[in-house]
Amino acid sequence: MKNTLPYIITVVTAVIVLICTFFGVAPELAQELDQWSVVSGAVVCAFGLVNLTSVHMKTIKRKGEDWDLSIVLLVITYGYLILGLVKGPTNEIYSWIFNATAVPLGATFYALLAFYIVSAAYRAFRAKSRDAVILLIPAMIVLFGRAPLGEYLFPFFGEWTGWIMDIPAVAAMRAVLLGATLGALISAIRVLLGFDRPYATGGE
Amino acid sequence: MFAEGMIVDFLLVVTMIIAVYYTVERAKTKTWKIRRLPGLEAIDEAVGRATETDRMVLYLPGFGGLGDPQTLASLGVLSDVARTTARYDANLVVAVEYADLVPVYEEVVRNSYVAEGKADAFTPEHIRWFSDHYYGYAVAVIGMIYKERPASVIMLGNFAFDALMYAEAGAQVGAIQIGGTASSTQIPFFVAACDYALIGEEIFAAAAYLTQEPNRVASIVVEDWGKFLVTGLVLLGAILATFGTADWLDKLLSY
Amino acid sequence: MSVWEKLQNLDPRWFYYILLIVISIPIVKPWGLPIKIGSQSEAFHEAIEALNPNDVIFVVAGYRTDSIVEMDPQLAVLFRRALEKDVKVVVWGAVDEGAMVAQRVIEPIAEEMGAVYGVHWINLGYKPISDALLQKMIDDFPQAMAYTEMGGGRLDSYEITRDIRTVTQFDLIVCLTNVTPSPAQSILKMITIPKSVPLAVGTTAMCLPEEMPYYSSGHYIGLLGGLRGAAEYELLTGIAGSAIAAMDAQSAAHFLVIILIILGNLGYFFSKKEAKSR
Repeated sequence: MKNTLPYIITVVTAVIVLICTFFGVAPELAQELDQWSVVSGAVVCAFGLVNLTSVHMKTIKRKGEDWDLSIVLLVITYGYLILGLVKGPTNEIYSWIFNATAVPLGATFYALLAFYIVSAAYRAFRAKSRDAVILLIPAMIVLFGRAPLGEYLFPFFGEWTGWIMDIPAVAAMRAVLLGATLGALISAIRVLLGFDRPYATGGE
Repeated sequence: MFAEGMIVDFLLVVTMIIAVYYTVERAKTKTWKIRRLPGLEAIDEAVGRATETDRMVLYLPGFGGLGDPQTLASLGVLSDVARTTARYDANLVVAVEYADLVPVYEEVVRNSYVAEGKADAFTPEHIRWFSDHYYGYAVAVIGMIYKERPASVIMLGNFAFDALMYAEAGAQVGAIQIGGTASSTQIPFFVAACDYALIGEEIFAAAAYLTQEPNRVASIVVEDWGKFLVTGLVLLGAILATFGTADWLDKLLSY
Repeated sequence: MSVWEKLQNLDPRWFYYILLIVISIPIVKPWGLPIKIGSQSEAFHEAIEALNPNDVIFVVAGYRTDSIVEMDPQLAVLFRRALEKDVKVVVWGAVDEGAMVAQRVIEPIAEEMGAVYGVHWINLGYKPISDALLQKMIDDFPQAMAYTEMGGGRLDSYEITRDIRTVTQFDLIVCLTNVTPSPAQSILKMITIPKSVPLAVGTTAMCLPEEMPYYSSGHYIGLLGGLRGAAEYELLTGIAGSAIAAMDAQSAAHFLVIILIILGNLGYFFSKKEAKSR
């Protein structure tokens, strides 16, 4: 029953949505089911919070590694949550905490990418094979062309960059998107037909 | 009877469902060959290196949940990776982003160890969870790579801009790296930074290639048929559009 | 170990220090390099310039704190230009941090330009994007937005949203996004194609290749790509911002990457040659 019930729910829901979409009958039913998926997503977030609390409470109880940081984490998590619920997201203190912590931390994390790109460029962009050379040449052209200094020194790089971004890059991206979409579609059909049951234990 | 513009879509979906069902039945007697995927053949090498150097194999399944097709593909590959690590007595660590998925990954790895007759070798320490938050998880994984210096890093699933960070950190500690994703913006990073890369829908073929299960192989066959159909339509549309007579095709496809 | 072999095995931290220095120089002393305008940014600019006073645009804040460096300048210039043209702006946070990152950009601009909240602009807050929500926006926009704006005020109590019943009433949708799956593609599928509401998009440089096919096919009427796109838009509108100032640093970083690629390849070839001759 543990494996069968989720499968029945999956099939019934999918068939309802497909019928509503293709035959235009009772569209509000499909929307309602879609809303339920949004709500269940929110419940998963709440579930995540419960899990987080459970894991860190266990760490605190047994004084595991960095248990003091677990206390800090839980205090901040629940404190900010309660502040937001009581005062709302437009509250001055709530906004200040967000702008002073989440914003610079998020931007800093993304900025790490610049450093990793630099070391990856040195280490990995080697013309070791014909394919690597084919990859490297347009990469260099686009690097020159997207930088104002490159366009200023070598104006033709700007035109070549425009052509590369508009034609071969778009063509390749379309092919990747089509392939990935087909793969996702087949995966969905496999779940519908019961060949993949990710909700069952073991992902089998 | 049909909603506006849905006839062709309906026929396509029904055709694909029938095709999947047909090929799965056919796969019970007929064998289709999937072309060699170098990235997957390197898994043995990656695990072997971990055994020799007594360092771990780190597996990253990406940030998608169970509803993400890339995560489903990743689970299939993880099953094979876990069997290989069990076989060679290598230390496997799976870093999971969502706490509620930890039991799923535990089950996959446990089943693989049991299948190799190494049930006692499995411990819950194989699965590590750091944070549900994207940044917290990524920073923790990068820190773990620098601290514990895995011999191999296998990244398969849905990744965002953290893909290059894991790949570069792994390269800096000298790990063998196998990366695969269908996230179009991250594919170039894996191709550039990893030793082996699986591009786009190759990750969906990966589970079929490794397990050689008839129903997985059959799905790849249907995917390829779908690609032939799309390619044919694209070519036909391009030729017709060149001569300015593509309107009828456009109209036909929008029924 | 020869020089070339040593070069191949340099500690990557040296590159990080060099990058810091190289980026800092043009920030401290700007070079003022000319920036050529691309066709996508021009198209985006034309889409905004085609709006008339009292038109209402729907700005979808679909990015998070990680991409503020590239996306904030796009939003700032867009918002400022809209206010200059007396175009009203309704902002919606499609992702969890979207509403708050947008608020910190547009609130100071609104104050500076004397724009009144609820009359000239409004922030509807975070309502998670989904196909059901987008469909609901077409059928019953206030209900889709839970009848409230970010601070909890009723939508029917604000002049700007009082008469909005459906998303098709907006003259333009502008989606600023850096997340996967792209909200722009969902909006395209659910609103733009079936209901012919024009859509312009701003995204980061990393996500630009993914959005390009939709601009190429004419589905997006304009596309801003990353910091470069923001700088081009600043030039087109004449509104100076942080993007133009950052382009010199971006140039410096690009050239550093090019030099490192060349050095890395030289090291690879010469050390291979040395190994062969041994």
